Amino acid sequence: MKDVVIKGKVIRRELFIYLACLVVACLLNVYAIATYSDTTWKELYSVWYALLPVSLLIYVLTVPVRLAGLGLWKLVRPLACRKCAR
Amino acid sequence: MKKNVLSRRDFLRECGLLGVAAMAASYPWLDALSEEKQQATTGEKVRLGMIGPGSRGQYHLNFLVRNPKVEIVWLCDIYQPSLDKALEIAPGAKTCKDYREVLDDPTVDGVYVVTPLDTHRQITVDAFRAGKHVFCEKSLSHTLADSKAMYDAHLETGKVFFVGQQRLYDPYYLEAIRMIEEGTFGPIEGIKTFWYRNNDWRRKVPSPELERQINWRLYREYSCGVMTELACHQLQLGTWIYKDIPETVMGSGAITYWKDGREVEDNVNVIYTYNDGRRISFESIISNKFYGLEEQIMGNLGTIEPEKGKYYFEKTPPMPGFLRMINDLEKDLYGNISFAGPSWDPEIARRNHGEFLLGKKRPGGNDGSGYLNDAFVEAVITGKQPPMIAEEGYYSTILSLLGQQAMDEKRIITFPGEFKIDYNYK
Repeated sequence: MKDVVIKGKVIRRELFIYLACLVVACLLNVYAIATYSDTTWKELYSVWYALLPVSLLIYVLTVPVRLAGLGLWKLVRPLACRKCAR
Repeated sequence: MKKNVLSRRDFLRECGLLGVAAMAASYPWLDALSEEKQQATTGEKVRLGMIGPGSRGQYHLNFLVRNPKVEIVWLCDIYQPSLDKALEIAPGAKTCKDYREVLDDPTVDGVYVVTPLDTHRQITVDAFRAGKHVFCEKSLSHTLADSKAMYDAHLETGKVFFVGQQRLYDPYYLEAIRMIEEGTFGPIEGIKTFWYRNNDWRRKVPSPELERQINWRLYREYSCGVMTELACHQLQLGTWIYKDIPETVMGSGAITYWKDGREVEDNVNVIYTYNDGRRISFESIISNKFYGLEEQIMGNLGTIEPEKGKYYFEKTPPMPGFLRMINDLEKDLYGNISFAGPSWDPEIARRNHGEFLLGKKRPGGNDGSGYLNDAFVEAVITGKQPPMIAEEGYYSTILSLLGQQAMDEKRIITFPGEFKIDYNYK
């Protein structure tokens, strides 16, 4: 069985993407606090138990999107490179 | 040995009663426990006799022997093993088998009557006539007439009369009543009480001829079973909260599980209806303990469960906005998919964790009995009867006996006028 090596660069990238997902979740929280009635700004931190799983969900949802994007890029890259080469 | 979890000062502070004025205004029967009144009786000593120091009597003895104002001078019981156990708690006391020896002792100030119910009237009335103050365990008696005779003797002689209704001295109940009277829960619309157990309620009997003497609670000659032993505690809340007595009583009871020769029901349900339609109900099944014991006091704005030490408001704070947004998203995503299902949402009891009365979890082992005993001692010293104590004890007994009568006669009983007393509800 081959050893799988995950480079530090990849880990850093994924962490960065997860952090971005967490920021998105926090922004959604801000939106909910501002939009719904009977809320308090204390909810910015008091719903941490919901923010973490939602941010994870957003991160997981980025995977097929990124895979699709990667696939598309692989299709389009030869055409784009041919143009660059000219 | 059980100890009061709260010290006297803590108890007063918890009930917001450190000042005499606060005490007198809110709970006049607690007046004797104020710091000022306590200091006024420092150095005084009362001489008490205990008649019938079985398990409940020994429980009270454990509090009394710790009170420096008390000297236990007599222990009286016809059952030697109970006497022996009581002597271990109060070793200096004299013993006898005839309660009249205790009453004939001129140095005795007060007596505890902790015998089976059928003997309460004789001993209590004799004690009053002998000039003794009386603490009688609940229920007063197993008949309406005897209970009235005991209360009348108290009025006639002017002697102090306490009944073993410890909820009147339980900080959690006091706090619940305070919040109710302040209108925190709105008008109280109903009180549901229940007491479930799963045991045969029997005590070990060393020989068959002692069966009725030791397991007296199971025989109608001496007791009305769960009504006089359990219900009377909880029914007392009806008078305390509604500040009234019910107009009618109905009930149903039977021996459904413990068919062992007992004469009292093991499965009862009784409803007391007041003239404005509100009710207090009592149910007890002693072959299932899942729901335990509780009084559910239901107001328009909230509910109190004093045994758990909690209260719950009808209106609960809304969910955080973020969770509501997720819920709305889910509804939008799945709401348009049709499945066979109900077209209405049932009103299911809400999951509401509530708040603690007095701001903290109710500790075990403190049911107000310690303060009740202290209050009796203070009353014997001063000779002053606190308001409400005798009347609440009297009516709780009458209500429990009327419930028994409703079950026996299988009809709706109207509260009999001859058993109403002149009671100025606080």
